[in-house]
Amino acid sequence: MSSIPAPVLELRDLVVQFVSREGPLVAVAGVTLAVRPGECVGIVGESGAGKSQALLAPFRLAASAAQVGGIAQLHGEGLLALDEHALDRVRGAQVGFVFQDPMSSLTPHRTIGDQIIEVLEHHGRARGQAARERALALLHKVRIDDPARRLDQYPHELSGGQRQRVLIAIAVACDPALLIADEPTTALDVTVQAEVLALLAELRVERRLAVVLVSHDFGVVSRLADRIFVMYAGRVVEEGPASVVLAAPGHPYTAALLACIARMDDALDAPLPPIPGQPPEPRALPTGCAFHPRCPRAVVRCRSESPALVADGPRAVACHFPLSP
Amino acid sequence: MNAALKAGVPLLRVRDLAVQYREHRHALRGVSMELGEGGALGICGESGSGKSTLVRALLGLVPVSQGEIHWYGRSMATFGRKEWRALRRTVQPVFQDPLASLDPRMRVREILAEPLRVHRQELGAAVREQRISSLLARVGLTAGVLSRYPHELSGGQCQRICIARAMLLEPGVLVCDEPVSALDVSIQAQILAVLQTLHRESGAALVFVSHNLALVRRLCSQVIVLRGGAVVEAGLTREVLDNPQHPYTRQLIAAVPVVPRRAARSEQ
Repeated sequence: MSSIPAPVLELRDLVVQFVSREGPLVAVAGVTLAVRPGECVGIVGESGAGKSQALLAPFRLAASAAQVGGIAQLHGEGLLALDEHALDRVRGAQVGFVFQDPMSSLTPHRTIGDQIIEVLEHHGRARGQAARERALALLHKVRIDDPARRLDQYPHELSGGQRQRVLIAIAVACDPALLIADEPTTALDVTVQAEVLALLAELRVERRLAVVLVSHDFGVVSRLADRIFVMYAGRVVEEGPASVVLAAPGHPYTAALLACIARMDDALDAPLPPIPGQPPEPRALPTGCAFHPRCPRAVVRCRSESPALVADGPRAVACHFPLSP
Repeated sequence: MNAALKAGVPLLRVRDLAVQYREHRHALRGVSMELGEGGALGICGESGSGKSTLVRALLGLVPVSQGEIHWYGRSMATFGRKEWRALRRTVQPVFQDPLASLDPRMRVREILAEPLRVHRQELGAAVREQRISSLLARVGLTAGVLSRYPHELSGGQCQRICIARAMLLEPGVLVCDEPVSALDVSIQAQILAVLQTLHRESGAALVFVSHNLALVRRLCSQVIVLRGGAVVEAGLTREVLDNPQHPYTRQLIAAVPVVPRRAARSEQ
């Protein structure tokens, strides 16, 4: 028997595109990844890299015009062919979601308790008094202060950090196997950020929860992820164990993203080296390697030939001239 | 305003400031700080610490219930029409949400023309035009953005526009309230670089508000740490960070995300 457990979520050559007047816009151009029980996969990249689309489109949580191709499986079952009713049984029950803005993810005119109970009842996990007790236990679990009082409060009465804890409680209410957290701490202060990440780490270990953490911030991803996928212009440009990718990035883009993080121990007079330019728009992708216009190492070949993701030891890099470790 | 500037008088002096929104509820109390000409002061703390209230008080946007704010040696409480107008010109804010700071119905050209038209009519159209294009270049944008609306630009581009607009009037101080926290890390570094360069080259002083001490550390020689509306620690940034005295400061330092440093820099 294999020692590696079967993946909870598996994406193979996933493509997400949108139809527009100028033809199809490709947001995700072939992403392959797997997340196993108890594992945390971090997806890093700038806005528009396609990281949220790749994770949300298989669950039909991307824009309704999205066309999704390739393979997306949950516990080996295809997701893309499921009808809306079947997907509704998956979302919130087998897969929990946490988004960036807790205020807009919660209904403003319903109490915290009602919103947790709704999920439990919708998926047939508990109802009535039993559901209320489960909701209270969940608020305890996510370490909200004074949970009994919070049950009857409204979202606006809670701080941003507390609201994010409520969202996490809702996301794990039905004991999902997978949690997808899309920029879960981006709207929060650094101190609260650290607490929320610690909570996710704890839930992951306790429940053997598979976690996908999507963020533009390596600082956030490096706290939790076992494996890191770096995305640029709809493609994975580097993937590997977090320790390898962080300590010795192979793709110049990964290295550039890491270099522009402000640290507490870097030299004060050396300016942060910003990545010049901006990520390309899907309608105007550069030829060859999409990163070449911003890459300090780009040569003629990079402008004409798109590099494939090639295994290089424990990681894989899509670059004609990867950085040597 | 600048005419009122006297040698030895700090550009900004805040003494025992309190702001009260409701009875018995202090948003700020006992806040004192100073900023010299061309200096850079960081204000650090988390949501609810009073950072934004302090910024609003400095800009004269909330009533002060106790204490005093002196700009260029003059107490804001004594300001008349003329001083307010001068303050609006010489103290320029940059806010967190760049898109919300720009009028969605105006093209960038009009957004940037407005402050000069209002405050520097005497310059003449050609000079004003020239000043706009020179500032656009300094914040790293091309003339192509002039015909765009804010919603057609990225968050980073919008923040550059906000900074350009603030710098157009050659202010004595830029007051930046979380100017990069809504942006991608890669874009944060670009905006920090723009602020750093403008601050050094123009001599404009900087008030930089952030919950992230690693950012304050890069830009500001002095720092105050706010918690619950009060200053818990203040001093030279280097000293405060090397030897934090207050547990809350230590907590803020510990909260800065630590990314393992690259083992070897094989190629640069």
